[in-house]
Amino acid sequence: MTESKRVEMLELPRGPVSVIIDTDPHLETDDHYALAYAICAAELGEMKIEGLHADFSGKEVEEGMLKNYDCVINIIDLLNVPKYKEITFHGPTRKFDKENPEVTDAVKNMIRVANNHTSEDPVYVLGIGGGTTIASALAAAPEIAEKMVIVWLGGNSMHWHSSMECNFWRDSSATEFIFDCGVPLVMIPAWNVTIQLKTSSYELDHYMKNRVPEKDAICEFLLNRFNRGFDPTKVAKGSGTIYDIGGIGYVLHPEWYVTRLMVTPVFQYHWASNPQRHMMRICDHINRDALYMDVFNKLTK
Amino acid sequence: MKESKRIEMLELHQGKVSVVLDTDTACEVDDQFAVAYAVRSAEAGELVLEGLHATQFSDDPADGMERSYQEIHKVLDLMGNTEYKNIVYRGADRKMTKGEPVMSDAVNHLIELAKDESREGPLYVVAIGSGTNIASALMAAPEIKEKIVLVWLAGNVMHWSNVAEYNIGQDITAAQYIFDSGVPLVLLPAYNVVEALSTTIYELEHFLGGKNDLCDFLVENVRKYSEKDAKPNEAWTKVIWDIAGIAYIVNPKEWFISRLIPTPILSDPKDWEWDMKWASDPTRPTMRIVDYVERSPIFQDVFDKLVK
Repeated sequence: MTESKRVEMLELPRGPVSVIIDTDPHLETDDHYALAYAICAAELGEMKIEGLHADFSGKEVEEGMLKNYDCVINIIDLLNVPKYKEITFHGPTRKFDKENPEVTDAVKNMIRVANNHTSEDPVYVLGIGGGTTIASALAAAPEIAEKMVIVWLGGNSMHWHSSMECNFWRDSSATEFIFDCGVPLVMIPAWNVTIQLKTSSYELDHYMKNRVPEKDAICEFLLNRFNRGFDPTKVAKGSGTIYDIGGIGYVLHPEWYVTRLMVTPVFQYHWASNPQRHMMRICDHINRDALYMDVFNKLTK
Repeated sequence: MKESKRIEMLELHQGKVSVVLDTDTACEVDDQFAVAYAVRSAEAGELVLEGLHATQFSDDPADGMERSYQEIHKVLDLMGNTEYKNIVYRGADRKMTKGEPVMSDAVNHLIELAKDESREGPLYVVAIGSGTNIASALMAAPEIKEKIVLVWLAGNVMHWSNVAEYNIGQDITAAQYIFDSGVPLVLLPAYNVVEALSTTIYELEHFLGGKNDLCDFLVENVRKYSEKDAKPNEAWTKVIWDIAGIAYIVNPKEWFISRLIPTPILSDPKDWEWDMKWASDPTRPTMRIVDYVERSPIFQDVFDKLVK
């Protein structure tokens, strides 16, 4: 891919765009919000979802992936939108192997969808989990790099003391491959970017208590999920960060994101630089208040 | 000053230190939290509060400073605190022009405190407004830079596209003087860092509502501010920026992640009024920059102290 082509693909998305979401909800709270937000946005025609892919989490890859899959189905059920089950796919049963990538249902779907797109109209892969499926698809079918843009939430800002963050390190050889392979990449770091997507039980209660009856089930589920361990006397037990909505909002409202192009760093524990590498886009800031209002509106109306 | 001396002064302090709080208290609604938090922390024996200094802000600097001076007294009155009323001083009534300090009671008080030989260790000057008073003191008495550590809430992170931040914008000349002065400086940048200290009316009401006159005043202030600041398409939050400076005094080790860097150069504005840029000269004196603040323990400490 030429550098100019890559940079062209890294232009801010002009929606509605097609997306695939790669997610690991089981051990988290934020993926559930992100999935519900994305599906609601799709139902309003603000984007088109062409895949919901279960990544793994936890120590046992296959077991974790299956639990994540069930979590996706649960969100679909709570929103009562069964058609999305047809595009929900199982991801990895083992970690990434560059020489022998696992061709899972999710990988097959990613390759199929990407091949239906072009560099002028790429599919946006919204990664809010690890990189196993994305790297496996790119290793199995390198030509899809010119047909998709990876928007990946993970890692930390370049001035941070390390890149250590769970999405980037759960399957670090997959991450290394994604950073090396030249696929157009938008990186949305955890520290100090999505870490700012903070909220509290008090704010969520305020915005989510009034809702249409069809959204009762999803809102109750999401509120309970956030409020696990709630203690009204402790700030820490009534507040949290819903990182993953940051990965969805980018394709809906890129104007809420402060981003810039930079030379793709070399992924390792401490970010390393090679000024001759290809370009990527990095996010420096997200308009929290605008993003949250959009989330609240979509989850309750 | 030797670099080793500067870096020694920039070490994360342990235990109780002496503090001057320099504040544009009437600007926005967060300084009042910081003043009250400083007083309560002093009452709890966690710091020694030696000065509460009003600084200028706005297009009418004399008015901004005077209103800040009155606001400090108002917060003390609400707290029923008379002990600290005699360390409240008026600061600059105008912005700095190149080569000339803006002298005031606050600047004279700061110089006097800094020179006090009876104190062990440096005086921590926590600045949560413009740099006018501090730059003036450093210009009038350059020797005090060996006696103070400036903890300043100002600017943005180094990779930001500009340094259009309110406290620096209130007096760019003073800010440039501070960054060039070599004073031991701990910088708390706004975007990406201190902005983590955001909250909502709903959270404030939960923790502070109905607890005492001070708390009611603080929450009501935020509520009134929201009425003019909130946009209908945004889930409005308020960053209580200014508590970061006192929090750094209370617990710099556990609530902050920071590192040493060469002090950047603050450029003149480029394309518009506040379009200053960070420029670098790697041989400049070292300063400390904060990369991260821990929101929950800081708000917990603030809430616990304010409701007392």
